[in-house]
Amino acid sequence: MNTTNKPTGLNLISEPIVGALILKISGELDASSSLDFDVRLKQLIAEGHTHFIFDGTELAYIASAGLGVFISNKDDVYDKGGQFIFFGLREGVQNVFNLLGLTDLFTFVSSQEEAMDLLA
Amino acid sequence: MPDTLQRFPWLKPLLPLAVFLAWGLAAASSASEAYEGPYVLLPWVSGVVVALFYTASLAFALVYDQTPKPVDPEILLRNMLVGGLFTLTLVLLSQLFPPANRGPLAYFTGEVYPLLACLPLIIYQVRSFVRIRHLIDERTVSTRQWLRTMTALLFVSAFAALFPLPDLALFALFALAAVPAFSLLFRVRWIGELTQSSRVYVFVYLFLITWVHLGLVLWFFVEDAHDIFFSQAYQNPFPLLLLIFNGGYALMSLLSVLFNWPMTAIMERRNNDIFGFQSLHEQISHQGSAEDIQELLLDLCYRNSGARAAWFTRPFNGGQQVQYLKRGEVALGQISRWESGLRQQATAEVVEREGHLYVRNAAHHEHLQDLGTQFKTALSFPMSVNGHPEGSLVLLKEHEDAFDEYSIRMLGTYVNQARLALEKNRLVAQAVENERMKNEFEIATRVQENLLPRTEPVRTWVNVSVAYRPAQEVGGDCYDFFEKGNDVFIVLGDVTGKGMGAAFNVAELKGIFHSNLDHLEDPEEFLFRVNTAVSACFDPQIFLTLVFLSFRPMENQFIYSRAGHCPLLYYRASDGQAEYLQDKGMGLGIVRTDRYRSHIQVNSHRFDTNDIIVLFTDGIMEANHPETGEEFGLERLRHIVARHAFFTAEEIKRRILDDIQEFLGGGRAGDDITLMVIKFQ
Repeated sequence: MNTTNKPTGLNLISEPIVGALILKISGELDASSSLDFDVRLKQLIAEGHTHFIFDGTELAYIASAGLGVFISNKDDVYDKGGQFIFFGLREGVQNVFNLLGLTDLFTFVSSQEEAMDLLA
Repeated sequence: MPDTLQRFPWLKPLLPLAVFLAWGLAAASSASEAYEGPYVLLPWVSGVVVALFYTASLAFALVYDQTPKPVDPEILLRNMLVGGLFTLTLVLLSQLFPPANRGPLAYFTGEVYPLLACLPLIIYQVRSFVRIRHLIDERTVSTRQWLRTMTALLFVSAFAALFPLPDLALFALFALAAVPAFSLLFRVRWIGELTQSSRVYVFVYLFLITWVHLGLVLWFFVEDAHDIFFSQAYQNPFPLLLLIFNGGYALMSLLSVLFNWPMTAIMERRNNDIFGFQSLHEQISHQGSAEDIQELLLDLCYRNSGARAAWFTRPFNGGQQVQYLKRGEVALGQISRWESGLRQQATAEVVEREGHLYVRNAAHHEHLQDLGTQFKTALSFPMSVNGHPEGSLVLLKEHEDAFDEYSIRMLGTYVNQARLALEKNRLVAQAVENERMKNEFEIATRVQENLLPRTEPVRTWVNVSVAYRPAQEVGGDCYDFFEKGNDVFIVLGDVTGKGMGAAFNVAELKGIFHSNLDHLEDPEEFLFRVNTAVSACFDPQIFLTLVFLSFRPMENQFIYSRAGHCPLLYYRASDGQAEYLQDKGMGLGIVRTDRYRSHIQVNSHRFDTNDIIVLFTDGIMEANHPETGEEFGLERLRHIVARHAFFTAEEIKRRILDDIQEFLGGGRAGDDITLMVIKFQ
């Protein structure tokens, strides 16, 4: 468990194409910060955005609660033909996704450009 | 004395009868003295009836004393005044009639009427004495002894009326009575309890009572007592002692009220302060809420300090927002300006001591000048509870330097009391919460332990040893063994979540396993069905990871599927290598449709004698070193297993646990630790 005390933020970076958002997740996604994260994500989904690109370069740690947020919201996005795309995840965090088998569910790339290419 | 009526109920009708009888006889005997003839009674009979009259009156007044307790001096003195005016009127009425020299009217006004007037006089005097006893009574042993002495001496002087005493004896009696009287005359402590409103009334009443007694004494001496009591006025110790004592005490009280006039304001203020402390203390003992305590503090400080305006700032929402409770004529807009002004450093007219900030003249304060036109003095008490700043109390007065040292000290004490009450409140709430959490942990642990199998399966070809160590807050770790004939099936898993919720999910999962026992031989089908059931039962954010193991000992093979769980650690005895098996698989409850089937991977693996499989949950992997924060990690586990592979499953398990314990340095892991060692033999 990381001991950094960075507050978790979900920050909207840009909307390069209509309906696709690039969101930066920073800090730790643990049991408490996941609650706010879930609310925010649901809000964005309700606003009608289709594709979500997550910049995980500053994501230090993800707990099962954090994973649960992605898992429970994926159907609302995927049913509309959207995707969850992750890029820049650190090794430890990527490992967590891998073990759980989420590489078959979400898309993982190494950079923002690659993510954009996927949508093109 | 009121118990006397209960103990001697026959006194009730007897005493008034005795009084009237005695008085009647006294009147009769006096009347008969004037005329010589057949109705002359023996002189000593008169003495007896008079003594009887005195004694009965005093006893009557003491026994029938109905002064309500607690004693209200204002009402008591008012009653005494009314009685006194009534008596004075009665005794003086006879003086109104023009003195006639002879004839029946002269006789009436000269002889009979004064005697008639003595009844109310004596009754009034004994009742006043009884009332004054109440005022004097300080509930100390010495006061009560003096009062008893005085009362006893009065009874003695009543007895002295039996026969005319020599002057020396009279003098001795007066001298003796002077001792308790003198001691009692100065016991006027009740004056200290007077409020500012009642002291005016009390003063007026005492003033008039003193004059009433003066009038009565004069009348007593002027009206030739010879006619009433067959002696000179001074030869009647009973009425005289009463008149002097009562009048003297009224005079002493009057002077004391006058000379202590300024003290009353101070006494009242101190009394209010004490009541204020009592109220605050009650809040401490009766578990008042934080809001109640704050409101009470504000009210007390506002009222007791005489401030014109006051407010209490209450931060909430983690200190991001502030709420104001206010009293007096100050607007909310002004309050925030005062607050920001007070926070800033200023040199002029500000005294800052521990616990408070005192602005002597806001008009000269650099940041409060415009506010200072309305209120010149400001006193601020910041309050912190258990080290956290919790708000502050501010009091304003119109004139400059309007709070004296005493007020500031007293207000500071109130704030401290309130702070203690709030701290206690906090601590109690915390303790209750801790107790609740402890209970929850105990319950969850017990539930979890009951859901886990008690014994490991015993087979000739394999040894299984498992350990479960719950964390501070129980998580969703679980494992189960299924035995069908000779076959053994093992599942080990981890449901997301903590506490009671996770324990319930584990229970549900166990139910789901047991309703699918028929499909254990087909791992893919088993996992698919479990996924379907879990998808229906669990909340959307809850999922689980799982390892499923079944064995084919005849073929030296085991079948396994890793549904998103930690990788299996496999030790090969043949080359002494331990490595994590590579495979794919997805957790359960993630893809909640039939599409999950495509994510299930079932693998088979060869095993030989002395090979080892180690299953675990991520509590082991993620156990943090208390100092470096480093994770225990997969590598370390791999090395330990490789190093101790020669031991039995039980031993290996124990050594791994010891290593983890050493790594944690005696601390507790953040997550449940479940460890299963399977050694083939």
